[in-house]
Amino acid sequence: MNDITNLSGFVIGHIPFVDIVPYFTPFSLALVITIVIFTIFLAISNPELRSVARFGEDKVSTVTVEQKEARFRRFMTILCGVCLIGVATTGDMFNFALFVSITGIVNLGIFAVVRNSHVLDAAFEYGLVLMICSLPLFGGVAILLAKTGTLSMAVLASIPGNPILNVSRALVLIGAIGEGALAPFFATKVEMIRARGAPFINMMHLSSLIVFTRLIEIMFIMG
Amino acid sequence: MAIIPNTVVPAFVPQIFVNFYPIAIVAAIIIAVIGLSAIILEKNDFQKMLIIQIPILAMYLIVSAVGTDLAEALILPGMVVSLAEILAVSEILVSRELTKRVDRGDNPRVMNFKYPIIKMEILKTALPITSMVFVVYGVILTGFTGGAVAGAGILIYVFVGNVAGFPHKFWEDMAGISGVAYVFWLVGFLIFFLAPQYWLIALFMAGGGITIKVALKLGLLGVLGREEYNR
Repeated sequence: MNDITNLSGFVIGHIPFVDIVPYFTPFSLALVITIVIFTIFLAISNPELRSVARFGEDKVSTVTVEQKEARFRRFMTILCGVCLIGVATTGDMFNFALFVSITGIVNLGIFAVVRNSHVLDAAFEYGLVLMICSLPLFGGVAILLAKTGTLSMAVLASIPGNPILNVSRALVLIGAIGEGALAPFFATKVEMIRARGAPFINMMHLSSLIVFTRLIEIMFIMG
Repeated sequence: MAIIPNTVVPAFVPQIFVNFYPIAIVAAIIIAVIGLSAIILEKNDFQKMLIIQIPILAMYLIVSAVGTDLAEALILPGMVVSLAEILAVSEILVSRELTKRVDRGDNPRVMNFKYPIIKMEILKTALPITSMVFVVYGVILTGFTGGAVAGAGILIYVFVGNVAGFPHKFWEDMAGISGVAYVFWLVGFLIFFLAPQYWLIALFMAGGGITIKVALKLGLLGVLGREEYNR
């Protein structure tokens, strides 16, 4: 049995949308500041110029990223930052699931424009994992709703843990791990990092980090 | 066996509905296991993408098993997200195949259809009547459901058969009408909140607007698909 304020400090404020209640604690405020700084840094930076040296030849060539491709990936990066702010601040379990899966789709979008069959292969496998993992993610949230009758994290934090809640906790954990490309699924991510255009693909690491950090808090809230 | 305690479910809900919940969850788990084992066995990438719809169907089943208004509101974003995932992954599949063909030195735009498209009489004659039945029934239903039904009728008309349809200009005008209907829907909802005593006019505006909007959007989807296919 945990209280939200025990986990992440006092609630600084909340945004009263109709039923979407994002709230800020010192913990989530730190995450939001990190995301905003990182996203602004990526949005104003230019894509890298990668030098390719082939073994055995005395030749070095520079790989450039086309303007159109770079623009699309920059847009997707900014979108990913917005989704991550949603992940870090939301106070509703279903919105958490939605934001996490949108983060996954946007991550896929960062890599979708790369014309490289290795990268596209890995991105396709990641997309399959995304689609499969929406089953445990949304299923876990739905079982939680059926068991407790609420999706609000503030109410959930005061409900004591029990075996059925642990089932839905495990399902949400599996789902979020798949959507955020965390531990067992990051093999595809390694392949996708071979894409050229360095600053934008770093957004994927940040999204994994934020999803993981927030997931731990949510695991405690649901318990 | 009853997973839901009676404190959450209101007292006026019959016990038989409450007892259906574990059955629905077990059915969803069975469906998911079948779908996931099919994905493991399947080797073709395109087939894999199609088979993944089976676990997603199990996801819809688990969400809808809750059976409240909130569950109905939750299933729509779930559907939108899974649709977005399918679109993204299929785009990646197409672009991967094109890239592979370019790498091999083939012409990426040449497609060889092994079998010609069948010319059947029924595809020409039955389609207008079927789509008309759909559209009339959708208009009677009204609302989001009616719009979806009517839109399915238009979709059948423009996409499935090889019918002499309306010119391109007509569908551009329809897009404009769809936008106007959307505004009607929004204004209807605004009246609901601002002046609740005029609820009847608001209901008619919202119901009619969403019908026209959804129907025309589905129809435009079909037109876009056909033009993409014929290009």
